[in-house]
Amino acid sequence: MGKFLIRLVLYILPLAGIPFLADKFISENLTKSNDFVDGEYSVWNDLLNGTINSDVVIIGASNAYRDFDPAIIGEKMKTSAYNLGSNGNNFGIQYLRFRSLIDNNKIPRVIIHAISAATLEKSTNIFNPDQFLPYMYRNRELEDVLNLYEDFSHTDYSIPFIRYFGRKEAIITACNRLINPSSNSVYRVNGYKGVDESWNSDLDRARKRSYSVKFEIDTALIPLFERYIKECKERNIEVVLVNAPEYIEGQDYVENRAEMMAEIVKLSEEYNLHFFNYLNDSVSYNIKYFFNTGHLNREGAEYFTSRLMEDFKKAQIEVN
Amino acid sequence: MEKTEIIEKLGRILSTVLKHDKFEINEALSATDVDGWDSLTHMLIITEVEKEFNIKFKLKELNKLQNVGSLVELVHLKLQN
Amino acid sequence: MIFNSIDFAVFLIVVFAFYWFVFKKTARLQNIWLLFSSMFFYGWADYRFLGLLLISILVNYFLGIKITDTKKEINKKRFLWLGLIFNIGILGFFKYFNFFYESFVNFVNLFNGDMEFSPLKILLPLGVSFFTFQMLGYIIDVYKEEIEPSRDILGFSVYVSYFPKLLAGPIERAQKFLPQIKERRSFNPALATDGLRQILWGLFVKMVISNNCAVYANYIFSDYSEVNGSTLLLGTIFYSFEIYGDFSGYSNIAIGVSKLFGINLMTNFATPFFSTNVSDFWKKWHISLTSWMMDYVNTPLSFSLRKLKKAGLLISIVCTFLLVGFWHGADWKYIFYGFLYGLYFIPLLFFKTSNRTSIVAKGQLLPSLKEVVQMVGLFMLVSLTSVFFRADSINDAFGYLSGIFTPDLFSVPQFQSRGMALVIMAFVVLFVIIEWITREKNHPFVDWETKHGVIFRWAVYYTIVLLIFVFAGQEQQFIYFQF
Repeated sequence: MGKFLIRLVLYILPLAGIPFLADKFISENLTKSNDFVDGEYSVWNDLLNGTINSDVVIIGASNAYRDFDPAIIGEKMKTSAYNLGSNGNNFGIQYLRFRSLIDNNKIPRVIIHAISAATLEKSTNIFNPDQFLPYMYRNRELEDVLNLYEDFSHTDYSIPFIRYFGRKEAIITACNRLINPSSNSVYRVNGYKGVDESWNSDLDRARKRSYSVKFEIDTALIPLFERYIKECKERNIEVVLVNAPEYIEGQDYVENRAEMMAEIVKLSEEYNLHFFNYLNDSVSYNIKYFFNTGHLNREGAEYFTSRLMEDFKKAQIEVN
Repeated sequence: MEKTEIIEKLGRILSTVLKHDKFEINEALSATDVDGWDSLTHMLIITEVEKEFNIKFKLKELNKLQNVGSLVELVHLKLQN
Repeated sequence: MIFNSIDFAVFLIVVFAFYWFVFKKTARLQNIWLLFSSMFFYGWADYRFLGLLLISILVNYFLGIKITDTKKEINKKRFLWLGLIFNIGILGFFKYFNFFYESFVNFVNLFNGDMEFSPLKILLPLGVSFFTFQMLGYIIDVYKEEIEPSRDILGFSVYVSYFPKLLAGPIERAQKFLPQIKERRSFNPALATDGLRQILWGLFVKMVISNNCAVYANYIFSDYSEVNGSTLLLGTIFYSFEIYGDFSGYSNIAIGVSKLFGINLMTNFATPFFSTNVSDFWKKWHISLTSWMMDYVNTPLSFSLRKLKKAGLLISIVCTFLLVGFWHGADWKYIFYGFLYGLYFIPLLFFKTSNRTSIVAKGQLLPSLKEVVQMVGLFMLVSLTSVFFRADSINDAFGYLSGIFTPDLFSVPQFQSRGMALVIMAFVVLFVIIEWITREKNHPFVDWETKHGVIFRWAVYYTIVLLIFVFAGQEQQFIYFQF
């Protein structure tokens, strides 16, 4: 029995030393990836390194990073712009982007916030939770925010490397960065990713489906949103709310759009914020600008951003 | 009937049902030694044995069989009654 | 608690430590500790049914003794029937009540009835299909005088509730289990080491092979009307490996854990996909259930039908497999699944020359071409039949199958993350190769310390641990926990 136990301990001992090294190795190399998890690492890197030096910043979900071209915004507003859109995530994660921006970078003058029916939608899970893996070890602040969702438990933050269990795509990506450093083409340009596709089959599917879906609102996000607006006011940041175009035939997928937007509309009126809504604009009727019902392709994004800039000019939204 | 004759007949029955004679029929032989002799074919074999020797088995008796030797014993016993 | 969880690991370490260091003096002490741990284990999983388990233990224990001690045959029979009704009754109520109730309502409504079916909310006690079958076998064996009834309530309780096999088998026979716990177990390092290796292998198979295949099978089955024929076919293959990996992995862990306590459980799987015919397959798949069905259903039934010769045998087989299907769940799709397998015996009974049961290509490295064709053919038959097992209903199953046999069967399968799918398929191929090479053993690591040095072995163990850590698929509930 003694010999058996000793062998067992000898076997397990080396395994105990690995986590610290593995964590460091994997996390460091993972953040180098430009396109894993929709290129979120490049944005987090810029945020955490404090290299975002832009007066105009776009915050939102996929509607942000697909639809708003920061190059055009920068050109028209004669400054630099950065797109902090976080694919698939509701306001909880969007707020995290905002906090990282404020804490580490130059304070912007204007925030364009891409709003949609999904901004305040209740979500039990993070989209692309792997985007947070490299930053989690012993990160209290991150843990507090991500506890809004169910993806991680306390051990993921306190014990090194355990959060990578079963995350084969992430581990393989990290190893790839080491083995193959050159195959890492730029994915997001200042946080923006234009899609060079025309219409896909998604609308045919949508047409076949005869039902619409009722979104559920996350009431916890409402006070957070208001806090966000207040913090911007305190820092003299102008928040402009924009509902980007969505292809007209897919718009009725959301059954209770008005309800989902109600709180935001109310806050925009209360705090006197500009609110541009392009759902009924001509852009939303033109299928050539979209690659699926919810998102503009590159041509559409460029066209829409230009249109937005014209509307900004009319509304006298500028960076002084 | 002599036991040797019983064994011989059993051997023939096995060959007929299992359609091969890749075995050496003796008292120690058991189902695990013979390819294809399993709980399925066993029942067919038993039926043939009953027909050949004009006897009837009880299920309880069958469960006690270990090998050909015990089957021979059982058949021999039944023939004597 | 599920076997591949931190909870279970902690539980196991504690039970192991106390078993060999504190309760080691006598068999009685060891059994007391095992009983306590098993009750804790079951209670942890679901405390509501602890009472049911205890009642089942007591009733069957006393019935076993009564059957033997009663003098008159008629009374023996009465106690036997009591036992059968009690055990089948438990199963029938908790598992099948709503099924029978709904079928009855549907039947009545066929005649323009207007009956409403409002199902009773009945919870399924964990492991009920397994321990009731164990008890049924015990009662029957005691009646047939194949075994002396246990007069040791402690030992008997351990036999029923023993935690490694409590939730999903193997379904142990009393003859094999009770003698093992009658004597004090002394620590056997070779057995324990073998157990650890078996656990490691089971974890690998469950977490890397089964869980990953499940992700693809789930995706394909949930959306089966949207994908092409070749993808659907691939889906059945993924599902075959999902269920095989899940259940054989679980069984290996259970058997390996039991070895740590010096108790041997029966083998439940013997590389069934290397079978060349249906009969052989069922001798190697879920062996504890099939052998139970063979011994307690097929043998007596085919015996009473033996006048009808092959036809009688066929009827018996079909009935047995209907039961096998039905055992899995209260749904017509399971019954149909069993019925199909019964029919598959027809060519074997009426046309085939021999149904070989020995290990295929014994002693040789590679199988013959004929054997390959037979194995692949059988595997495809099993995979296609498993659609009835997996689909939500018989209708869905037929829908799925009809989707396979269309012209686009020959087009390229559709995949979301093709790269990872190929990685998983590579793992499956590796898995098949390993099982092929070691097919004559109970698990790949049996006796392997005689062939490989300690450095190589430990390197393999570390590699497996690493592979499990990196490639563990999204956790899926052990499929057989629901039965």
